[in-house]
Formats: sequence, C-alpha cells, structure tokens
Amino acid sequence: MGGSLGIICCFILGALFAWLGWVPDYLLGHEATVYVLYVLMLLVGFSIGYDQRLGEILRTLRPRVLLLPLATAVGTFAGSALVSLFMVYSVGECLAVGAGFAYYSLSSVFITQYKGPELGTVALMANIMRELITLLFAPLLVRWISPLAPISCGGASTMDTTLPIITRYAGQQWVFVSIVHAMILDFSVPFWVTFFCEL
Amino acid sequence: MFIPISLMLTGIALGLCLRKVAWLAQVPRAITPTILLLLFVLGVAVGGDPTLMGNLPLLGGRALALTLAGVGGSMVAVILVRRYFPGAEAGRHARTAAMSGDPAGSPADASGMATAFEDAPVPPEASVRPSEEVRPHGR
Repeated sequence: MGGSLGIICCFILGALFAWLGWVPDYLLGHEATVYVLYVLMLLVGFSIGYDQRLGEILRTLRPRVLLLPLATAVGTFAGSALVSLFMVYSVGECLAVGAGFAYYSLSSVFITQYKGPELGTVALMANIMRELITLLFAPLLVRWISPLAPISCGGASTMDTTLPIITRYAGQQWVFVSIVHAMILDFSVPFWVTFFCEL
Repeated sequence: MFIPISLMLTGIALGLCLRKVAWLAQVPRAITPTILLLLFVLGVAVGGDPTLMGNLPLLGGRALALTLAGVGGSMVAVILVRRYFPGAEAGRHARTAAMSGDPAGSPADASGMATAFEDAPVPPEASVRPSEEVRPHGR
C-alpha cells in the first residue's frame, strides 16, 4: 500500500508544481515522459532477463496455468468493450485503458503518446484504481469468488505490489500461479496497449 | 511503438547475457525511482494542462467506470475457469489454507501448486518471504 501512495504522491506533486508554474517550460512538452519511459523499459527488460528464476519457472510451467492470464485478459477486454457502449471513448480506447492490467506507469505513457493526455490521465487513474481494489478487496474476492479472483483482479501487479496480500488471503499455494500470471500480463501490456491504440 | 518494445527486448537479452556479473543484480533497484520520476513527469504533463486539470473529477469518474468494467469482466472469466484449478472454489479451502499457514509443497498444498506445476515441490525463495518484492518493480 505504501508503494501505491508514494506513486500517487509523486503524480500529485508533479501536477501541483506544473500548476503553480514551478516547472520550466521545456519539461511541459510530452518528450520528457517518453525518455523516462525508454529508460524504464530497458530496466524492466533487464530485470526480467537477469532473474535467475525465469528459466526455472518457464520449465516447470503446465499449460493449465496459462488459463488464468488468458481469462484475465479476455474478461477485462469483454468488460471494457461492454462499457465502451456507454462512454464517450471508442471501443479501441476503452480496450487500451483496460489492457494496462493495473500496470499504470507504462500504459498511461503509451496512451498519452497515442491518444493525448486526457485518455492518458484516465488510464493512469483507472489502473491505479485496479491495484487499490485488489489491495482492499482481496479477502472478499477470495471468500465470494475464488482464491484466483484477487490474482485476476491484480492483473500485472501480482508478482510485486499485490503479491503479499494475495499470499495472505488466497494461500501460499497460489504464489506460482500469481507470479506467472503477472509475468505474462506484464510482458503483454505494451503489445496490447499499442495495438488497441492503433485500432 | 517499436522503440519501447525493442528496448525491453534488448534489456531482456542484456540481462540474460550478463547474469554472471554479480553487481548488476543492483540494476533492477533503479526501477522504482524511475517509476516515481515517470509519475512526477506525468503529473507535470497533466498539471501544465489547464483543461485537463479542470476536468479531473469527470475523468476520475470515467476511470472508475472503466476499472469496474474490467475487473467485473475478469471476475466472470475467473468463475468460468476456476473449475480447472482444483482447490480454487470460493471460500472454505482457501481460507483454511491461508489461516493454517501451510507452506507451499506441504500435503495441504497438494491441490494447489502441485497441480499447477510439474515437479515443483519446493517453492522459490520469494514465496517463503512474500513481503519481499519479487522484482523491485512498482507499477
């Protein structure tokens, strides 16, 4: 939870500074976010490749485990497509926001690039909310639906920020499923988001 | 579109090649500060746009609608696939397992991880210490 609060604080600070006019003009263009994103992508890739457990996890994987990330993706897309009927945004734009799977930093920069800062801001808030919902409702989701429910709800965050709470309420036996779920969704976010933005 | 994805793939290749270099294990630690910086810069982009700032409550409402739709869809999908995961029915099993604190790989775990993974009796270190970030990778 502390991590999410820090993230939100940084965003609010940035917005406040810019609003008060304390930020030099050359930072106000969207170029800055792009370069920071490039650094982030390189770092994320590096940490996936460097992780010694990657091979081990891929080797011991059974096809059944892939069902859960598939279900999360299909379910999220179905829900997002459905709600797009009632929204001012197009189906592609709603799907792009949904395809962030709680991975707010990456998806909102992509969406800002493709669709402008308005949808980028919506994507940022929507994906932070998804993570917060997972953190707050994990115990209820386990009781009402399934131990798989908080994993699916957490999207791409279930290998770091939401893993402790999932372990606590769903049980330790789902840790592997949770990590694989996040790895697959994590990797797919840039592809889905850019794909839907170009629809 | 291709630049960020190819940068990620380059990073994966670099990480794979440089696994032997021990001090590079520190590199992933830079992810969290980078994300904080990214969020700050995103905040600057939003705060510097007066029309966006004026519409923040409206945009927040739309974001909530999209989130609930996405999560709702995922939950329906989980209800459809949970039958393929033994031990994944609602409530009882999961709670008893969590409360008794059975370690992964124990007999009580037989229906969970063991059905999901072949020959994986021992959990990775991360599952023993779940409070530690698996990858220092805030979102």
